[in-house]
Amino acid sequence: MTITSLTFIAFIVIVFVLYYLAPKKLQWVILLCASIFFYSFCGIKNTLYVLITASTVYVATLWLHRLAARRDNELRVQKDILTKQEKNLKKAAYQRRRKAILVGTIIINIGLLCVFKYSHFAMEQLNGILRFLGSGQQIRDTWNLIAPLGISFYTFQSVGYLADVYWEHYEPERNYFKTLLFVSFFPQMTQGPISEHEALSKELFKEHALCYKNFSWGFQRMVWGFTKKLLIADVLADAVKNLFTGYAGYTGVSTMIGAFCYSIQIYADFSGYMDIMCGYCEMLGICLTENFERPYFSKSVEEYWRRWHISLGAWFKKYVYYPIGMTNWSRKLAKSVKNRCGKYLANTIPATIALLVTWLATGLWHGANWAYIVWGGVNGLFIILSLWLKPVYAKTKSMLRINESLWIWRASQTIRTFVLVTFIKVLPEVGSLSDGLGLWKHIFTEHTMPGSLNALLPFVDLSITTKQIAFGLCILFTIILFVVSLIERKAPARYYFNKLPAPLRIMLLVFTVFLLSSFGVLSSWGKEAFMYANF
Amino acid sequence: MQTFKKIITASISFVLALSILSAIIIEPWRHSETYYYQDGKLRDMLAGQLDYLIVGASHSLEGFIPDVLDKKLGCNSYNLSSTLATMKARVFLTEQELHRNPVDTVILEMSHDALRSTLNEYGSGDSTTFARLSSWRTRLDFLMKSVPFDDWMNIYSRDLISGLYYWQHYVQGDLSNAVDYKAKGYHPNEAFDQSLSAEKIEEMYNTTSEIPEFAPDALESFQRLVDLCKENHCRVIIVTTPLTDALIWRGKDWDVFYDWMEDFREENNCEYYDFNLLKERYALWSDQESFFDLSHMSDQGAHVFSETFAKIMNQIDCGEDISALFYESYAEMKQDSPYMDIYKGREYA
Repeated sequence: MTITSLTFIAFIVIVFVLYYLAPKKLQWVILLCASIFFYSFCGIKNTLYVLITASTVYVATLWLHRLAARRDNELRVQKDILTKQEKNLKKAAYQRRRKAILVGTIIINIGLLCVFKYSHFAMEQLNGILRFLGSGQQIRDTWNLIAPLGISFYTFQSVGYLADVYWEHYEPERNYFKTLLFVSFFPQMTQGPISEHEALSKELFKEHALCYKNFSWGFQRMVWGFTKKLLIADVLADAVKNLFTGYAGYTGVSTMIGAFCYSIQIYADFSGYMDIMCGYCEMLGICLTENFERPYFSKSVEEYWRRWHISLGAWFKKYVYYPIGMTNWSRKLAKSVKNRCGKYLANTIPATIALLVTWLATGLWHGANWAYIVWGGVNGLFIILSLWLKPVYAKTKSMLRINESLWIWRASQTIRTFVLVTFIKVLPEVGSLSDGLGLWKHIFTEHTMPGSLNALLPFVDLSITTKQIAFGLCILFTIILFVVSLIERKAPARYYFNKLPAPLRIMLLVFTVFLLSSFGVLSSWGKEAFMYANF
Repeated sequence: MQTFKKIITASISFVLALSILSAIIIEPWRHSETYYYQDGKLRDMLAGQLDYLIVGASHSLEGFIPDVLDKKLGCNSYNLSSTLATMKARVFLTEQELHRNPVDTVILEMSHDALRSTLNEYGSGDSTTFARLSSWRTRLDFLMKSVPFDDWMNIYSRDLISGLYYWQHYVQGDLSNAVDYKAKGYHPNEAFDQSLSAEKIEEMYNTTSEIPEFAPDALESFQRLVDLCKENHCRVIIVTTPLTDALIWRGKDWDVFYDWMEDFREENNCEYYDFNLLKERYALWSDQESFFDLSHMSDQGAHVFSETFAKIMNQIDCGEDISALFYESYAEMKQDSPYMDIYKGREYA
């Protein structure tokens, strides 16, 4: 069941009706049934893996909590009997057991993810090493595994919840079915956002009354999401595919424009999905974590990553970056550097190591190949460089007396960041790492200037009138997307949209749905899948 | 309750506005002379009289001329073929006509790519079949029986776009592509030279794979189509219409399809004729004049083909053995191709 299919639309309408017809206390049960149905519809095996994740996390979190409670109880009861050393020993003993449960559960879940996502890549590397060592033997990759739908997303969400319970940030959920809904909530299952248990459970398990504002605002957001997906991303998809498969045949300028098209495509695709799902959840009265905050208006790569796929960035920060910084060896390293080289380096060096590991892991999460790992590394490198060069930037800016509040300065920073992230983005998408690097090289070494519009956009197939119209609409809606992003600096665009008279609003919505049903559906034929569902 | 009413009112207003807009765009086109076929009404008028049906996709749509068959075979035929028609759509249309006509013969056109899963490209196959239905009841029936739910949107989408083009031409005052009802479903094409240059002949011989993987649901529907005709006591004639020499020249796996069809014919005890293998083919139709593109015939080619088909049918009906008229395989047929002379370095014969 793809998100842009009629089946999915019928499905969400039915769920919406049942959700509000059901007694408010049972609304979450409707969502659970819908989620299981959605997952089973996409393949019964998918449900099995979700059940494994939900069950292991449910048992582990309860166990972790029980051990913590027993530890606290024993320490309270024996408060006056035990010495400080004995108390520490008891705490350490409990901590060891808790850690074993945590690690064991993580191994099961991340292990499952690794088997599906990385086994092929691992075997390729192993065979490479064997070849390098001159061994004639090769390991045959006969598993041919297909990753269950959304496994990267729900595994991370579950592991985050597990870690939070381990750190005793909050108590675990005692109802298994509620845990199952937290893991399998269908709107966020295939592409996130990766929510924290505390935030999502509050939304899922409270009672929601039917609200007209939620209904209309949610619907508007869904229409906007479908517009981004069908009229921008899917129209650009063919052009981008043509470019990536044959960039060597185009001029450097055309290739660069194609790379920008890819940037627009992936944003429209991913944020379009988020708008559809967040809009739908809004109709149900559920507020999902936002995943985008006008990322292409960022002024640095670091800021861009705080505004693009926000929930993934936050997950890596909380569960990878900070824990690395908190390890004993990291603290020891900071201390030793501080004694020898001063406070600045003592802060920067451990942060650099943590950043590098985090970004390589982010790269690996996105895809099991070297191009993604290098992509993660390049992103990390830019962020590390900006960390190291912060004092230099500050000094240069004060020397040159640059007024940072000037719009032209801010605009130049935004454009620079957009160009940078575009270049980084295309690296893994062309195919292999060498193809990606080849595309970079091609942009700068192929200097022929295109002589006409057709020569400027040779990868756009404008031979058919319908495609010409769809491409025209794509340009129009990309401009609207840009304007909406500008408007949203102050308030959501829907705030202004809803100030329009009701008949005009309905007319605009009807006209947009009409464009989606005609040119949108036709452009998206054969491209129903969302790009981030592959990650 | 107030909120509920407000939501219902807003939803109804939205759906109503969308329906009115869609109707304004689609309906004038649907009732115009330029509507893809507008032949549903004609078939309604002819109901009870048709005894010879041609069922297929674009190859037969542009290959079989009912008027020629009527004259030569003394029947009352109708060409039910539609561009990119899916097998399910063919079953639907055939079933509809079998129920209301005293049909004794059904020609099932089977091209090499008719059983591929992507036949219904961009929903176009369903859309053209949908266009041939005369009432909303049969359209709904078609949607329910023959079109997967997710593809309904493709039909709506294509109808909207066709409607928009209709309006564009209407405003521009150039509505020229009116349908010729007398053609009884046949669609004539202009001729375009499809012949290969000497370099291409050298370059392309037996290089491409032309037979796609068969889709299980298409196979199932094809079997259903044959069974349906037999249940209605019809003579089933499976026909592969002529392709250009150019296309056959480059393909290396035509015999895979031919052998499969032969097996199917045997299993189902029906007739099968591949007109690409007709020995007279090089004399009857040429790449220069008989084709619109690589696989579709021109009007001139269709006339020759329909007459040839009728002649052979008459021969069969007279009890003649026609097996000698056909090559036994594509490999054998290619040896006689005019391109072979060039390929072998001889002068063009």
